[in-house]
Amino acid sequence: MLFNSFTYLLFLPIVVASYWLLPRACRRYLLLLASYIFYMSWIPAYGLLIATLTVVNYLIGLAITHFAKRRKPILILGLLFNLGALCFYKYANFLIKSAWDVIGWLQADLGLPILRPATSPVLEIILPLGISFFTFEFIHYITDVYRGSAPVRSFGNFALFAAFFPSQIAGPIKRFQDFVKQLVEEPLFNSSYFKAGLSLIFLGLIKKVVLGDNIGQLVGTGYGHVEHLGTMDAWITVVGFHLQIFFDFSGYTDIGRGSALLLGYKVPENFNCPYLAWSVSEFWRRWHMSLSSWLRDYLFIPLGGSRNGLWRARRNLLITMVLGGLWHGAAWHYVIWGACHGAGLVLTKEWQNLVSRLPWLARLRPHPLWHWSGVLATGFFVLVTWILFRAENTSQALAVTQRLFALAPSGEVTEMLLQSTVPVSLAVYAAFLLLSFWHDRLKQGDGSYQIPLIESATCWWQTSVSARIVFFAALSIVILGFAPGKVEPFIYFQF
Amino acid sequence: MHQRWWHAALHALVLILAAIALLEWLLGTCGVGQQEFAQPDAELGRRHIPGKLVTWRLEGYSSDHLNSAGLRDVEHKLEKLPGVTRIALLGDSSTEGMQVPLAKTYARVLNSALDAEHPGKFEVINFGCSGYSTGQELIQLEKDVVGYAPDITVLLYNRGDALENVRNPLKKNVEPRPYFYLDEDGRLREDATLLAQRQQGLLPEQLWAFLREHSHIFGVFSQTDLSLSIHERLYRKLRSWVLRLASLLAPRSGATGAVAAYRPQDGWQVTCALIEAMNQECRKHHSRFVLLCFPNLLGDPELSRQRADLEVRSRNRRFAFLDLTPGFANHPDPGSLFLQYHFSTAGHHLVAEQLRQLLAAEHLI
Repeated sequence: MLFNSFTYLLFLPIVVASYWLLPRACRRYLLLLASYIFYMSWIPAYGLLIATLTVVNYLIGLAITHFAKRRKPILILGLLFNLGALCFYKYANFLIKSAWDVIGWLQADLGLPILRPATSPVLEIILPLGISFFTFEFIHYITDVYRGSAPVRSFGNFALFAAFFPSQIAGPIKRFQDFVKQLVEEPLFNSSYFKAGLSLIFLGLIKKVVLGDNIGQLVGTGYGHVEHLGTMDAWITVVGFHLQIFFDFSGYTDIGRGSALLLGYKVPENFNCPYLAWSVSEFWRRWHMSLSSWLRDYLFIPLGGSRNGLWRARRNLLITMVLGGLWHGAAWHYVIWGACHGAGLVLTKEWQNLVSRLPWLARLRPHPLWHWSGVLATGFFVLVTWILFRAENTSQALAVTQRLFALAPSGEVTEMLLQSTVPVSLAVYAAFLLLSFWHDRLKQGDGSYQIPLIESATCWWQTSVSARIVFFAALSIVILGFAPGKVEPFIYFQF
Repeated sequence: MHQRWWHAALHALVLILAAIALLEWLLGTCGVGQQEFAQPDAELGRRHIPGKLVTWRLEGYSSDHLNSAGLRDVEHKLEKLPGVTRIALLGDSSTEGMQVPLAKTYARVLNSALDAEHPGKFEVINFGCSGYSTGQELIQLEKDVVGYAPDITVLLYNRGDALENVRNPLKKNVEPRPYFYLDEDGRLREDATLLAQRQQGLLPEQLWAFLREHSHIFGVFSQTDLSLSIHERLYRKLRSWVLRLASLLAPRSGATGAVAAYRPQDGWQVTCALIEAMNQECRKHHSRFVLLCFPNLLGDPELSRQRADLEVRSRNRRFAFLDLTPGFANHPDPGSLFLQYHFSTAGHHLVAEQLRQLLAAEHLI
């Protein structure tokens, strides 16, 4: 069930209404049922997979606390179980294909007499939606219990932590301490949560449907006809994906967070203006924040983190990012993408060290130009590395990069951009961002506004229910009108 | 209290009106909600809205006006100029070509190609309309096309047409259009009962016609209904339940009532009879009938069977026939000839070129 589908449009209000109408004691069970219906609407059998993983991890959590002396082997068993499930579904074919290629090279280059089938065997596996995300939540859970956190005693709470539909498929990756606390407290209806939730859902739909999906059509055409791309087409394609992935993923997160708020729950934020980051490390503090912090806590730090010297720290950073790349997909272009970001992070650290050692360079730091050149350089680095991320393989990524500088006349993608609603939508979105920024800047400490007109308009908006109803109805028509003809899945669903 | 109630209602009304005006302006400026192009018609089921600006984004892109006669084409005078050979193109959405700009439809491309070879000697007119069955095309030929006195009449046959020509007795919500059947003596008959029912049911038709023609908001709802009907199974199901419920509540307004008073029909036999009727109608008006068969790149066995049958019939009934499949299959990049379901610009270009070659081979040009 996609957040931007008609089915979800029916599903969510039914769940939200039933949730608040039911007695408090039953609400969690309703949510659990709704979450399994949500998950099983795709492939019903995979409901069994998430249920099995939930039961096993619940028992592992209890076992770690109960058998304190043997908690390490139990943790290792738990990690192997979770990673085994992830690897089987996500990486089995990648590993088979890679082994098959290596055997081929050994045969060809060294003349080794190794028998191998003529074509690489392929397992018929359909990747369960969201497996990467809920596996990471399970790993976080058992690791934190091993580190001393109290396990979740209520199986219902634990099962809901694992299956909670607003964050089930593509995160944000929750922390059980925060989420289970909310479950135990049993949230009461909060109108401010409700308003914020609705606003987030609308914002998410605009990002996903009006912007992301329409830009995605240009990007899809560009990557589908790389050999015919003119220079302008190639730039539109590359910049397009830069925007598409942000609108798509942050749109998903907004709808998920908004849906959670309608039910009275808070899930973590995942984005904080990532394209305004002035360095690669800053970018990762703002982009897919729940994954970045997970990688830091459960990969980088266990590898040794920043301890044991500079080189070890750099090595750990590289390993973390390469594995982070591999997490996105079982393909070499994702690995290289991760390695590039690892290298980017290492270079950022080196640059920061250099700046702090050279006083004349350090003096330039407070200047706005320094900041904005950092933003531009980081933006360009991220933009170029997205080519690897979006391409189907490394050779396609190279071909797209070549087309960026090929000086070929513009073609289909440029024509499509001019005919599409993308320029207008982007302009309106940018104006909206500027207005919100300006509106927030005008707000004074006591909550009033410097300009009386803004003060009265804000007051009118907050008190007039009919204004808000009409506004959201009009916004719904805009979303429907600007939506492409077909419901497009979210990019991060494939991970 | 009384005053407050009125105040709130007036406030809401002003807001709604302001929102409608703003939305109409915004959607119109962005060319959104302009995909509505047809209105109900008593004889044809539906026909193009004359002069309507249509901006199409569902598949591909185009933004052009329909002409004053409601054709997706440039303006054409009814009277034929002396010395000019007129070619009428009939078909469904593939011929209409909303997915590409007007100038790139195969009608216009063929016109330009013929004009380049023989300036001012040929005039190609596009009568294509989305969703038309062969039966609707026959009625269109009788009512509209012959008025233009075409010398050559070309029909592009598509696989789905055979299903659309006859009423499926098992289907509850069928589109109101003219259906056809073969009576006990094997004669072709029209079943216009659903159209007649609709005419009785849709009393405030003028209001709908106005909205269809002028409102972008109406266009947005209409295009959403179309795309959800295509892509969302649950929506289709709910929609059909609502329509069934509506027809139960107001039996005269729905298109579900009257049971056909004839035996179940073989769609293909009826389609062949319709094609033969078109051939006869063309002969009656001294127009040469040409039949094109939609390219069967996916190797659909049903369409292959139909194609073989049509080829035999074309020899027996002496009309020109062209299967577009070989030309499409032999193209260096067949994938580039289609967008999703319809011809791309390259596809239209190839149809025009194949048609031009056929007309030359048949000594029609």
